Amino acid sequence: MSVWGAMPIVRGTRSGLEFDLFEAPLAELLPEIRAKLEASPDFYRGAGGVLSFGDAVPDEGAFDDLLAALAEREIQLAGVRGGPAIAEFAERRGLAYLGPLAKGPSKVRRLSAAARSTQADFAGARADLARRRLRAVRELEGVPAARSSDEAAAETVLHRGTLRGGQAIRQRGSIVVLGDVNPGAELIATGDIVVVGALRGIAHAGAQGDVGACVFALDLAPTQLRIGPHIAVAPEGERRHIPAPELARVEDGRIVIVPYAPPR
Amino acid sequence: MSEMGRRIVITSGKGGVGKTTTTANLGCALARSGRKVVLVDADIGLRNLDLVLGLEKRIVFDLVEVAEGRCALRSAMIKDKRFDDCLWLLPAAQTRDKQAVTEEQMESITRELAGMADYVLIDCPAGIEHGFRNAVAGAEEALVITTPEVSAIRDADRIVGKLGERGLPTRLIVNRIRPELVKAGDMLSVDDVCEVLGLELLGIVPDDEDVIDTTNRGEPVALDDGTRLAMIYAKIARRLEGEMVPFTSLEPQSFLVKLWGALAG
Repeated sequence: MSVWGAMPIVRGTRSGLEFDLFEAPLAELLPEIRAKLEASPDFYRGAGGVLSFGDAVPDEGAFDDLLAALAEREIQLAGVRGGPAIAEFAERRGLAYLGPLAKGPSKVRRLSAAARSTQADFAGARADLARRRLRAVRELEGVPAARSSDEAAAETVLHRGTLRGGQAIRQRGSIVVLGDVNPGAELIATGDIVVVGALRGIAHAGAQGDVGACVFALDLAPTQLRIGPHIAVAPEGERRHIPAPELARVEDGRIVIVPYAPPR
Repeated sequence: MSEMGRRIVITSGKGGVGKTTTTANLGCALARSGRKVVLVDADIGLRNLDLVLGLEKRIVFDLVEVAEGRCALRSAMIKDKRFDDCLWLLPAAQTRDKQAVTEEQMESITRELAGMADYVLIDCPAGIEHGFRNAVAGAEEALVITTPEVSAIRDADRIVGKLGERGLPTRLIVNRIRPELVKAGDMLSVDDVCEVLGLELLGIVPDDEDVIDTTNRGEPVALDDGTRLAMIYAKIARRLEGEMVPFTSLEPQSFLVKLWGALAG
């Protein structure tokens, strides 16, 4: 069971926190929201929040509980989204109404919240990764670096078949795997990593510090993901995983996962 | 410099008798009583301790990289956040093999760990080859785990001999006892096991389905307050600390066992 691609109830976006509350009655979602806020209190503190409901008006008692939980974490409520009933509800409660839910598949990129909340954990490790990067570059002195994209492409290794726990591919260049990468397997590339299958092990793209590198998989559910000096892990305890092609890359100094959109 | 912590290897010879589960649970029990504990996974290439503790995702560096001087010891240690700065894991490498580390390196790494913790528990791989020698090289005491089966006891006996050659004080935990089978005469009793191995008995752990479930979820059963096994591991931890803790009623009451129990205090 993989968790990476699950739609979390609380999402971080550029503008603040989005609470997706349309899949179940609010009272049922409350424990999970509380657990989320509890898990990394400092990460959420002071953020702005938008509550998205469907068409159903939330239970008043549960709503009060939610407001209290948000206030406790000093999350500023920017407003609510939802159908016409929610607009009325917002007016009654004196909240800003921000319009209906965005139509179609959510285009909002999902920031890896865990990547931020675990940044402190990995502080030492990150420093070591950066040091190793410097050393690795030194070790490669004298080896002509790939300059054009053609040369870089020439250093791509293709692996056919499943990579199992304990197996590893380390490549100066990029790695393509036609098959699954199981937990306990490792892919380490100075360039990009493409897995035509499920990525459940560890992938490190841009292993010598290239933060422009990316990781792509048909089912992106790694144990841990690294790009350059950045490290991210899947958020804890999330479900509803639907395999879909996704791309991981670095934006604003952290790893983000975006649904793969084929070039038009 | 503060006093050095105790370095204990947890070993069995035979595979699948519960070394890793015992290491995780005993570590949790000690950490809950406020001791600083570092768990070392010496099973390079077939690591499991991280899974049992639910820490797999947080591994960046491992024992082999520490040994090779590719990262600082501190960077490879993973703090278990369920405990206040009390429980740490030094994971094994998954993509390397046992030969990647030498006995001297293990000795110096565990010595360094003992300088920062009260207990260093080393989870030994099955077998008596390189991996076993590595795991034992860093230890000053040993816990032998066995189940009440002739094959496990035979292998444990072999291991006890090996540990004896190295002069390590060795104690015994009998794992996966099923009292109802023992009563019916279908399973060797703890007495039988002790008679063959002649070791000081530190604990008796009954077979319990909870272990399978909690192990799969990465939450050692010793964390579940009020469960039978959590209490048993807490007791084993206290015995390890040198306390006199009587064996409970689900455990056998023969003279021999009482004697070992008393000596354990």
